[in-house]
Amino acid sequence: MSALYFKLAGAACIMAAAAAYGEFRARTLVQRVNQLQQFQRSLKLLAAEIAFARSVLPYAFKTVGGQCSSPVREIYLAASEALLAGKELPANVAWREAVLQSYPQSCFTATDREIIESVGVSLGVSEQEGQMKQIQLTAQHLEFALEEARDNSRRQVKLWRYLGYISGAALIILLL
Amino acid sequence: MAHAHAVPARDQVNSFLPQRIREMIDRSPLPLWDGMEEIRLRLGRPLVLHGRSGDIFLDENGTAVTPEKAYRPDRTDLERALQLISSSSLYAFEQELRCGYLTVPGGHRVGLCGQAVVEQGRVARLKHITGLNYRIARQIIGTALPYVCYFVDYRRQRVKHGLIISPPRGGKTTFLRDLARCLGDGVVELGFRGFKVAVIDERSEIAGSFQGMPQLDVGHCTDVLDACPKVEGMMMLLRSMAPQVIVTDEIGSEADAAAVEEIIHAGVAVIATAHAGSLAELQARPGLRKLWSMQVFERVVILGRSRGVGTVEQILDPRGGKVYFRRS
Repeated sequence: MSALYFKLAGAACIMAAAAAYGEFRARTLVQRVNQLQQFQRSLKLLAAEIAFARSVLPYAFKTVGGQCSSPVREIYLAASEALLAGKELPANVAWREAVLQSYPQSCFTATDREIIESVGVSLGVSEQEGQMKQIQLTAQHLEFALEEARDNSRRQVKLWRYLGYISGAALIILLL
Repeated sequence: MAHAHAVPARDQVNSFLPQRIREMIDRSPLPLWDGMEEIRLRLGRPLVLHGRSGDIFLDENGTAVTPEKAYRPDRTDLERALQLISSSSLYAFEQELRCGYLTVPGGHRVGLCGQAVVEQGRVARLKHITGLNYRIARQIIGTALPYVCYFVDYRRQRVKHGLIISPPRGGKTTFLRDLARCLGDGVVELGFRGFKVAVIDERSEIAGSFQGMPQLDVGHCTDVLDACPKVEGMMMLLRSMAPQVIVTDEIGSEADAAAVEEIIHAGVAVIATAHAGSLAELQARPGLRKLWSMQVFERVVILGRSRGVGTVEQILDPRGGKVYFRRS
């Protein structure tokens, strides 16, 4: 009798773990879309800070970071801190380091990371027009990435959820 | 008001110097910061510090040497310096780059030299920056105090129109800043209370504003319109702040003269500075000739260097030629 309970408990654990993994993968896909949208919004805020407020980058980053949620928030705040620390870091280096620092905690893919890093290419070293062009270029690339992320999300979210349950059930059957 | 003069000029300027240059100056056994006026970084040419005792050339160890042995700033030094003075944000200083200078917190001005980009017949910006000149601003509280009485019309309780002249680096802005402070705060011992003073600080040198906040003491009740072109600024302040005195720096163009003319006929006193080594030079400047012929100014202060930078050599009323003060 107790052996059956053990088996049932084990099966429940396997099913829960497999379902959780499926759910995790599904959520990652959904969160990637959300985070890319968040970053897209942050680019608009950054453009406004540069074009209208004429804020210098450390403060522009701080303002934008304050209006975003994690992990985009952390990217901007880390870049702002690095520039304010007086270490003579060029803006593009400060930005790249901030992106690399926040990347592991995000749902961005390596391609997304490269796009986000590209914001920093001419950051702070060109006139306003140049800055705007760079931001627009990044926004365009981001739009493609977002489209792909939405597509993935549409196609794969349910798939991963089902896969979680199905693989859990399959494993249980195999082990029984 | 948090005035940056609480922070020594040395620390303020140091934070905008590339680390390598900063360390060279710090290594020097000479008291370089005492009376330092300029630090000049020119690409591939000797690093020069200009102070009371003239030009000093430094090598990498901070030792005063001949120009041939002096340290020569490279491209990285200039890029780092630009990055520091612009907070890595050149786009935010397009107007300043067009004019060839940037003002950093504390009111210090960094002059820029390079290749001008001309668009539609006007300088659009500078590129390939090859020379930087850090001009160190110093606030000397009380420098105008002995002379402020000459600017006050005690009978009519108003301020007289004034012009402060000297060649460049003659201490005009320092004198003007303190004059604005004295007039704005009032000097009870001299029998007048504060006037409503408004400062148009086109180059952020008078109040040394950073993000609009004055960093130098220009008086408790003085309004500062920072980084605004003089001509527009004078009219804006006239309409918006109802000042009794408008203070501005470096007038010279015909547009400036027209704006001054507008203001003085609106019942507001104008105190300004102008580049000129003498009254004769002043009268020869096309933009100021008309103001001079109209006898607008009631007080002209001539600054010189007979007892150091910013020495008041003469104060006179150009209308009647009466000399109120002459350095003996």
